Amino acid sequence: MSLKNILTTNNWNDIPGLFLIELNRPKVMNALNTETLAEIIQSIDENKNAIKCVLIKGNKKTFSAGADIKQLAQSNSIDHLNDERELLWKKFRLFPFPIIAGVSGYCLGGGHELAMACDMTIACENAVFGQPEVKLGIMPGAGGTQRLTKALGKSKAMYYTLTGKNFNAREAYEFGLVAQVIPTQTLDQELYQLGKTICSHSPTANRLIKESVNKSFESSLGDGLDFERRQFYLTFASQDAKEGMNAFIEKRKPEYKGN
Amino acid sequence: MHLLKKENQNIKVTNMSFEYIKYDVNDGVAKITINRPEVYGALNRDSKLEIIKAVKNAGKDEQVKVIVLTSEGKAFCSGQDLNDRTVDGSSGPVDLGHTLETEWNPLVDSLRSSEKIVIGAVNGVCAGAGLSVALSCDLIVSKPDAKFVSGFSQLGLAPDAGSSYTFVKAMGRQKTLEFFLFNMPLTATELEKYGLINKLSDNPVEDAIEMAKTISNMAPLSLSMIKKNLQAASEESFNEVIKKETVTQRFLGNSSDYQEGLRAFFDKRKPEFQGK
Repeated sequence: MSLKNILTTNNWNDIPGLFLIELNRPKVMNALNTETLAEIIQSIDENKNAIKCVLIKGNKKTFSAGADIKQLAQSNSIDHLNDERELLWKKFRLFPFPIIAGVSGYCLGGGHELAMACDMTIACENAVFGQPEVKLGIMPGAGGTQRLTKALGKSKAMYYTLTGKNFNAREAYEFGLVAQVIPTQTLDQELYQLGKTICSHSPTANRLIKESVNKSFESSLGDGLDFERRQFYLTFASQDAKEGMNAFIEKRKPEYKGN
Repeated sequence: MHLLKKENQNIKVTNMSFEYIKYDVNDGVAKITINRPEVYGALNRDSKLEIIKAVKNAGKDEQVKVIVLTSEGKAFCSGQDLNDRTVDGSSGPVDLGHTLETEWNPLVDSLRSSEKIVIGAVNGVCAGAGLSVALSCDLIVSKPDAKFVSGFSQLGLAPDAGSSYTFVKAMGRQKTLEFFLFNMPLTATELEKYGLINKLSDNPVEDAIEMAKTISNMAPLSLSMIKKNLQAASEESFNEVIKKETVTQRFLGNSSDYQEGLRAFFDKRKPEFQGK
C-alpha cells in the first residue's frame, strides 16, 4: 500500500517496536478524511506483529484541524452511513499496544477525536483543542460528545461542544485530557522518551493494562475490578512476569520477550 | 539523535507593507514601530492586527534574532483607540470582551509566545491596554520620565489584557489597587525599582538595539527556552517548573549548539551558534 497522506517510520530512532506516524497533509491542515484514517489504521495493521508502541503526530502548527469542510459540504447522510469510517474507528480501538498522540498546534474536531481515541496525549504549549462542529450546523461524530464528556464531565463538555470554543494545553491538562504539557520544540524528544520507556516494558503487561484501563469506561466498578483481577492473574502466566521479577531481585535490567 | 524530518527553517519573508506601523530588519534586529503619533500610539483594530502580523513574521524569519518594539512620537501606546467603532459604547452597550478576545489578547499573546526575545523601547507614555503591550515585552528599556497610567476606572472600566496580573506580581496588591483605582501615574524610574523595567535611558531605541545585538550572538534555542521557562516560573508551581526545566534541558542537551558551546568553552573562543 502506498501512503499518500501520512509518513511512517518503523523502528524510530533505533528502538525496535516503536512506530511513528506523521500526518502529512500540510496544505489542508492535516484534515482527517477517510483515506487518511484508513492509511493510519492500515499501516498499523500491516506492522502489528512488530509494534510495541505507536506514536502519532502532526506538524508544529497543526496536529489535525479536523474534517475537510469542502468535502463535508458535498456529502449526505447516506454517504456517511456507507462510509467505512465507522469500521475504521472500531478497528483503531482494538489495537492491543499503547497509541500515543503528540499534539502541537491545532487539534480540532475530527483531529481532536483522533487524539482522544488514542490511549494518551502529550501536548505542546502551543496546542489548541476544540470541537467546533456546532459552528457549522453539525456536531461531533466520532467520540467528541462521548470521550470528551468522560474526561471533562457534563457541564464542561456541554460548554465546549455547544459554544465551539477552543481550550489550550494547560486547560486540557487540568481537565485530565492530556498527560503532560511540554515546551513546543521538545515534542520529538519527549515522544521518543515516552515511546522508549513503553517499549522497554513487557508488551503483554502493556496490553493487559490498556485493556483494563479501557474496561473502566465500559463497566461498573465491581465488574471492572473483577476484570482487572483476572487480567492480573493472567500476567503471571507470562514469561515476562518471571523475567521482570527475577531481574528486580537480581538487580539487573529485564529483557522482555512478549511471551 | 536523528529526528524524522527537519522543519523548513528558511522561510522567506516578503516585503511587508503596513499602514499603521513601520517594520524593518537590520543586522538581525526586527524593529516594529507603532506609527500613530497623532493619537499618541493608540491602537485601532487594524493596527493591532498589523503588530501581530509583524511579530509573527519576525518570529519565522531566520534572519531575525531579536524584536524591538517601539513607537513614533511622544507616546509609546495610549491603549485602545476610542474612535474605533467596535468599542464606542456612547449610544448603547458594546462587547468589549470580544475586542479583548479577538484583538488585545492575541496581541499580548503574540509578544509573549514569540520564540524571539522582544525588547520594548518605551519612548513615552503607556496608558490603558498600552501598559499590557509594554509589559508583554521580555525586556524593557525606557525613558526615565515615561509615564505609566491606567485610566480604566476613569471610563468606568477595569484593567485588562493581563495588566492586573503583571502589576500585582511586581508591586503587590495594595500598591496596584492604588495605581488602578486613582489612575496615579508611575514613572519608569519608579517602575524600575519594582523590577518591571530593565534599563533607564534617554535614547531607549538605541540602547534597546545595543542590547539586541548582544542577544543576537546567543544560542536561539537556549534564548527561547529561557523565555518560556521564566514565564512558566511566574505562573506555575515549583513542581511543574522543575519538570519543565528537565524536559528543556534534555532537549537542549541534544542540540548541536550545546556541543558548539562546549567546544568553544574549552577552545577559549567565541561560540558560533546555528539555532540547531
